[in-house]
Amino acid sequence: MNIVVCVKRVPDTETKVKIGGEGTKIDPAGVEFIISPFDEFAVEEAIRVKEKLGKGEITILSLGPADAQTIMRKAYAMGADKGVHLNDSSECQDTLAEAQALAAALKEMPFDLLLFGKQAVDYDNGAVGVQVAKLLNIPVVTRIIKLDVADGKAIVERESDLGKEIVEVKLPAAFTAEKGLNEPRYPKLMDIMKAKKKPLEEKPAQLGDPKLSIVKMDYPPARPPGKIVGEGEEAVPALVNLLKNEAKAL
Amino acid sequence: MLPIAGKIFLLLLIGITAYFFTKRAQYLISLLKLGKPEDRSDNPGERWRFTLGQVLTQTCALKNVTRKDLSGIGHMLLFYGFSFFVVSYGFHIAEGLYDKLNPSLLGSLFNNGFFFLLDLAGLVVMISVIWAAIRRYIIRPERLEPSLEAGVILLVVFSLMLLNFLVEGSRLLTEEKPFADWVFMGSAFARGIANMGLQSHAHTLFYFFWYVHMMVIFGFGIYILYSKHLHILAAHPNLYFHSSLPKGTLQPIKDFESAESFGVSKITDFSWKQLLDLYACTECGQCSANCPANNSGKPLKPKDVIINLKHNLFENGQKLLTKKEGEEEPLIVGSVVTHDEIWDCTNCMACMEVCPVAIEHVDKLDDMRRYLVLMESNFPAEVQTVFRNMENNSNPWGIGMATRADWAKDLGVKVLSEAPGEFDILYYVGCAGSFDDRYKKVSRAMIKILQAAGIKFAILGTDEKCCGDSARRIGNEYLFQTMAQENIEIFKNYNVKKMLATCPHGYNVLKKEYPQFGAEFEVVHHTELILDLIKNGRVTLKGELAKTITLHDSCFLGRYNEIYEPPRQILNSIPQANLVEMERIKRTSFCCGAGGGRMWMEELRGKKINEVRTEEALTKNPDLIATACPFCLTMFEDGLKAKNADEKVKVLDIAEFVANHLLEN
Amino acid sequence: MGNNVLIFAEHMGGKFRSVAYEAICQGKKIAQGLGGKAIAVAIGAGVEGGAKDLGHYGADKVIVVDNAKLKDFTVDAYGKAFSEVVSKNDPAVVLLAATFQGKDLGGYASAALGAPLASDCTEWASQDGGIQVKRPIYAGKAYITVKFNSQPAVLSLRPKVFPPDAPDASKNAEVEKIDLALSDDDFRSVVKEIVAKTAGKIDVTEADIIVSGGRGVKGPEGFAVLEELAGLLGAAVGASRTVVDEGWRPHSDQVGQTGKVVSPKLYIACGISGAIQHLAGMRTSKCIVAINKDPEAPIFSTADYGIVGDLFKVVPALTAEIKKAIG
Repeated sequence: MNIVVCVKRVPDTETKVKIGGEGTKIDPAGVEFIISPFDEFAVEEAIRVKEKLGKGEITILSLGPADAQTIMRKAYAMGADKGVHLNDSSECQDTLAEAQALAAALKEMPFDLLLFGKQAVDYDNGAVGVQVAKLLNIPVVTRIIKLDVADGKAIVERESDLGKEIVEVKLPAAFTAEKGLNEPRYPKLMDIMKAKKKPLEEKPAQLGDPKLSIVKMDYPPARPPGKIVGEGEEAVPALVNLLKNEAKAL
Repeated sequence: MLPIAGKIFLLLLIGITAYFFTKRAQYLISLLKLGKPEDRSDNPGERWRFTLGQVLTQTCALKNVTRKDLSGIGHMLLFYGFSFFVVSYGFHIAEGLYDKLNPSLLGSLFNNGFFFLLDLAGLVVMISVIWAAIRRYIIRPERLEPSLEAGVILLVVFSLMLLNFLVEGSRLLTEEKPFADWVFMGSAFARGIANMGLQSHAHTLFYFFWYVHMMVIFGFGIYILYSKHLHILAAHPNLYFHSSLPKGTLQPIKDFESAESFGVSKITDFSWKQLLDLYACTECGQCSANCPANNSGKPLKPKDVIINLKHNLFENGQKLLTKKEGEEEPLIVGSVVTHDEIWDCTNCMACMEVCPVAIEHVDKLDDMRRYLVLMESNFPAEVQTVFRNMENNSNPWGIGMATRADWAKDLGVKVLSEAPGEFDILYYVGCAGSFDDRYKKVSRAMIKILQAAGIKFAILGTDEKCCGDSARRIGNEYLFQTMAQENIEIFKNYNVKKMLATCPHGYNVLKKEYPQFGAEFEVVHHTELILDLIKNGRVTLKGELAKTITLHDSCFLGRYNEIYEPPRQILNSIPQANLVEMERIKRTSFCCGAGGGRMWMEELRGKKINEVRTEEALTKNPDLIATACPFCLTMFEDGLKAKNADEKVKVLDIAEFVANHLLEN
Repeated sequence: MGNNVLIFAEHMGGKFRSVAYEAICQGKKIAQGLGGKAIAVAIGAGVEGGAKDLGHYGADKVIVVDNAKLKDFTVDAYGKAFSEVVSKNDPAVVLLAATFQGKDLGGYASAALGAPLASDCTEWASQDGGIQVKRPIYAGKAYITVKFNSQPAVLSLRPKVFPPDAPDASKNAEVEKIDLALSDDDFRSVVKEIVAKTAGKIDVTEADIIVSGGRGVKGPEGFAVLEELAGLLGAAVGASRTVVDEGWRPHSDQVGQTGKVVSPKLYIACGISGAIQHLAGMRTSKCIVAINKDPEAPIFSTADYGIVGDLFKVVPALTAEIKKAIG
């Protein structure tokens, strides 16, 4: 059972976003980078599949700059066996170009299961998993919250607008992980130490020219400071008005 | 004195006893050697002074004497009395073997004095034993087991005294008058024997009691090594080998790279000293009696942890000594010491403070936590979030680290991450002071005080990171050391020489545990600093407090750092402050429940510790509760809410008291 | 070089979804800017009926792929159908709604057509013969304006941002039905079962809106007013730790540091003081409303909107007012 998990290095979700450079990128100063949380569910699930089957090999694939290797080692500490780092510092925004680079590398990596997070928490497109699957011509099911693998098939569960879907998929196939799939484990120290020695292959990323580019990056309109709308029931109509029209929360 | 047969018998007794004693002692030592090596050979001078000081003045026992529990005095009497007796046994044996030896040889003054003291000692011991037996078997305080073993020991000690008097009494009735008139107990027994008409048998009785006395002494000598009375031999080395680290510090794991395992999961993972602790325990129960977990209905009872480990060592001792390479050793984590017991501990050190023989309970539990966290990743689920938050945003709540200094905006504070520069003291604000809305008020109060005093201080701003105390105390030594080393680098980069901390946990770890990793900074707690400022007139207090205040001594400020007086003196400097003390204060202060990383864990067993302590505070009918710690503050505020007393009673940090009463120029 | 706009018209429960109308409306505007046609694509089983009405919203043409095998959405099968239709119709822009289906299909189409993709766009503008879009990144902490360097370009629009214009009943669309050859290979994923959502308790971690109660609710009966509000809003009911400790609410409802961490669109905190242990569990909610009778309660410094008052009066008033507003 070969499992490949694609992970992306992203800024921690609490990061204060500061626009830097020429106004088209975020300023990396003071930013703590982590594995995108949805990717972490994918890594954890891969390990659980391997543990349940009692066999298998898990490869981590990551497209990103040099310190993507740090987060790959975190995935190793959870239980992945090896990894391939496609080195690219361009911070390409074109998910298709990224997918093409990943697919090119994946053509050399045999797998039964290909796992992604449902979206990377930096650019939030949620597209790469599906794009890679299509490029590799394998079936894909997004946002799974349960995965069972047996006899060359996977049975997954996911939420759709109609309710909970149960889908049966022939392997090899790709899946993107949704929150609720599992609780990622906290690595044991011995595994963190061992992770330093697991093989990590670095290759240049075969990224084509991006077909889209960022013209500029802006902050959202400032969230108005919290205010006490009023006292007692009399304040309610004003509150509902604000919720509806200002916050657009209703 | 003895006939040949008697001497042979005595020599046989000595020989047999020596044989069994030595064998058992060797066995006990070999069990200690199963433990890991540990170097406690430093500072022999200090160690001797400490040990002799504790033992000879009986501070070990007397430190726990209260109006309600005078047993420490009983121990002192027993100790002095019995020690004196042990000296006399030398005499008895010498006398038995060497015919020429005779007490009268020593002169009547010595004889009078010696035997008078001996009889006095014997009487005092007998009374103490009776007192002890009444306590243990009739009054039955919770901390004492009315066990068979304890009963045997008391009985044996009593009989030794009794036999000695019988020996003296019958001896006095023989034609020899070896010793003088001040043998008042011996004389009384002599009269008693005579009254029973047995005077003519005095000679026989004397030798009979003499041999029986010897047999009991030697038998007891061996029994000591097979019972909890091992305490009398193990206590002294255990005191000698006490921890010479700053009080309460945990030992670092030195090597992460090549170590095969971390923490303690088997009995042999403990060091020999940690195993010696088990021998030194006499099961007095003071630790359990003072433990906040035990006093809130939780499974953790420190005495039981020690006893269970001791029994486990003895049960498995033989097997462990003859174990072959590669054979599995049974785990003690989760079985001999349960998970609940391991996680219940708040690291408050009440147990260690009261232990007469310097047993280190907290270290054992924290070592087991290290195993569970580092080796098994097996810890309460809610803790994982805390670890991740510390890793990613450098605070346990996971609030964006870029916002760490937002609380100080517009306060005119020098923020080093924005503009490095000169300063005299670094105010290490801490996570609570930076992110907890309630405790930000304390940070602001502190700023007000520092500015009023004209102190040239700075804060690190967004370069300040979590101190890591909770990570260490929960057992994640790896994460802790990563954080500590990062912090030390930052302090060095900013040329920090002196630091001020408001949080006792931060204070304790920065001051006493960071030096393990090369830190060399002076650290003061805000109560120390503020008291200094008041004493030197740098700040003046005004206004009237006119309120009843009760002060809670935080564990990490009090027991860990013995800072008891500054908060009191500060409060008493405020005009019309009416400070009423709880019963459990200073070194016997009762924990708020948040230490040992428990602030971050669900409290699922027993009663909530913070509610127990809040109830105690409320018995003093305070208007205000004073604390000097963000955890204690939170625990009391939650406790008051739970008791529906939060309208009547408020909790304030010492800094807030002072800031509210500052005379500003 | 095409100049048409191909729009995915999402269909569910026997009719087209409102997001389909939103997309078609925008698609028509984009097409006008490009000088091409707005072509809607409907895929599924039994979608033919009503297809021509898509013209009311601006579709010039509707291409229908109606096949019993396409009853359930799978990205492989729908993607195949969609991409084939799109590629044959001179696409300049491929437009979808950023729904579950739309996001999946957008990814598939992008890979199938070799077209760049921008997901969940909140603004678009015609520019230099093409279009530029604006979309949120970092969970909305920033926005990027993106231009496409090639054609076609695939984009999905955030639902509810572009309300459709009023339908013009006089406009009908030309409907073309297409028979697509679908092989077994297109059905390597098969939907075995759909378990419909039961109108039951919504879990706090899944809810878009949470109405949460603290000590101020005073007891389990007090939660009745919160449950009424929650029912109206389709919200979950959350609880602070005190409330759970007292046994008034189950542990699964607990929001906070040691309970569940939630990030709904709207969090209404009733009788909750806002101590840091609770805040840690709901701080990142998009909009926070606090109702508390203590004006000093810390929650007011984190809330976007607050009302100081008795929750037993304010919450029912809120329920009544919202009922009026939503209609």
